[in-house]
Amino acid sequence: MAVSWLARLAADAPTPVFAVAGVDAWGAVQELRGDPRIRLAATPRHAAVLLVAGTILAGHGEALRRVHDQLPRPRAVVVWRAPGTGPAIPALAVVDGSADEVVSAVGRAHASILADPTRAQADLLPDEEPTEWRGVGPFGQGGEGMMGGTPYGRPMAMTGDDRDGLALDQLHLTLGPFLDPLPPGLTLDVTLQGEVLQDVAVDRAAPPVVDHAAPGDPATPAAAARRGLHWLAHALHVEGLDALAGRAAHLASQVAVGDVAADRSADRLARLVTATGVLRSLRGVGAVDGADASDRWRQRLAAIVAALRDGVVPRALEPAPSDDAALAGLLVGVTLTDAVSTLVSLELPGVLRPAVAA
Amino acid sequence: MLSAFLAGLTVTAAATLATAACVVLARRAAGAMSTAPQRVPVLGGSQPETHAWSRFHVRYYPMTLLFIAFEMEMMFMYPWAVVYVEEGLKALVEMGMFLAILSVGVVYAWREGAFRWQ
Repeated sequence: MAVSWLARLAADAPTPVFAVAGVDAWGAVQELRGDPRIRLAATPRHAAVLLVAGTILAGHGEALRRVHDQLPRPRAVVVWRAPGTGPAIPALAVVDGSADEVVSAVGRAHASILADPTRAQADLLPDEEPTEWRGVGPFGQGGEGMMGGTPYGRPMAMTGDDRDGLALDQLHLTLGPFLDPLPPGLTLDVTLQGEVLQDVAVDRAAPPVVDHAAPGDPATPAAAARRGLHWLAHALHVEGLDALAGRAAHLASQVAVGDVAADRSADRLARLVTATGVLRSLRGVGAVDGADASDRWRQRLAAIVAALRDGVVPRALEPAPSDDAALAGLLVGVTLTDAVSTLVSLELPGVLRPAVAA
Repeated sequence: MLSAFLAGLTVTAAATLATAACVVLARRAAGAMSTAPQRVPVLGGSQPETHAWSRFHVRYYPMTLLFIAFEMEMMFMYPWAVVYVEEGLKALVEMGMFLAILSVGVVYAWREGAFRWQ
């Protein structure tokens, strides 16, 4: 009784969605932030529906299945604008149409699994620990001891020199390719000590060949503004300003339908973004050629306003280092938060080409 | 005496029942238990290489040490100031001993860099 009452309440709330997007559909997914019927969750743990949008690289199949299984049950999958070349994933609904259609499909899928949990999608990976650990070792912790042991089947982090002369544990992690704050297709191999990145290796997935996404600079002011607003919606979300991210996304959809009042809204949005202090907080973060993240945000905001108000196609932002080692060099020695802010603010060739025609 | 014991027993029984009810309701609301892929941290599709048991530096630690040292001092000094006139020299010596012990902590915090503002 209590459970069905909770299910009814959950069905009325905005559907929590975790989106996995290919580079060709990333911009369109950012635009969904402006729709009050769904809420784009930061992790699969907080979502009920997995939205797989655009071209997912064949090599990311295992990662996609892992993300799928990390959604709590009951879960549903909705596939949007898939070209059919990526890894196959069972879906409750396949949509090829507009953002409005996909949001409706997500809502229907969510309602259907809440009404009948047997329709929810089953796990794709086996429910098995990576190695047998239960009862192994003197204390049943799966290994031989603290140092060099393998509790729960995974080796313990080992020590390394810290910045202040202490020897503390180094955590090796691979972040991505479907981590919410990172641009699509980007994988970071990092060594963390506390919150500081000690070593970084960047892996940029080769952009998939897509016929409807024109890489490079957008040709019209509206397309440039829309592309900028997609970036702004994501960047504001990463900086924790979800309400403004929703406004930016809504503005992007207004631009898409040619709303003439969009230029005034863009002005107001740029003023609000400045008023939040986010530009101040990014000062000194991720400086490339004398321009830090705050300067790049300012340039991008100015470009959006110029495109909408004055109808000019803005000059493209100076691209980030195209060399992976140079990009990794930017991130070594800074905190994880600053590294993410740096990556978000950069124009990353070979990673982020939001579809102009999406 | 017996009634106090009974009261304690009743509260314990009620707390146990409430906890059990919470656990049962939470399990029913949550549905199935988590699987192995759900028990690893969310890394965007990647697997963690090392276990999450790792030691990292609590960098506010020397600051906390300093705060506790001075707070304990004040906590003792207020009641001490009230009885100082009555107790006289004895109270003065006791406070001297207390401050000597406390200053060891402050010196240790100094060595740990608590006064080095960064």
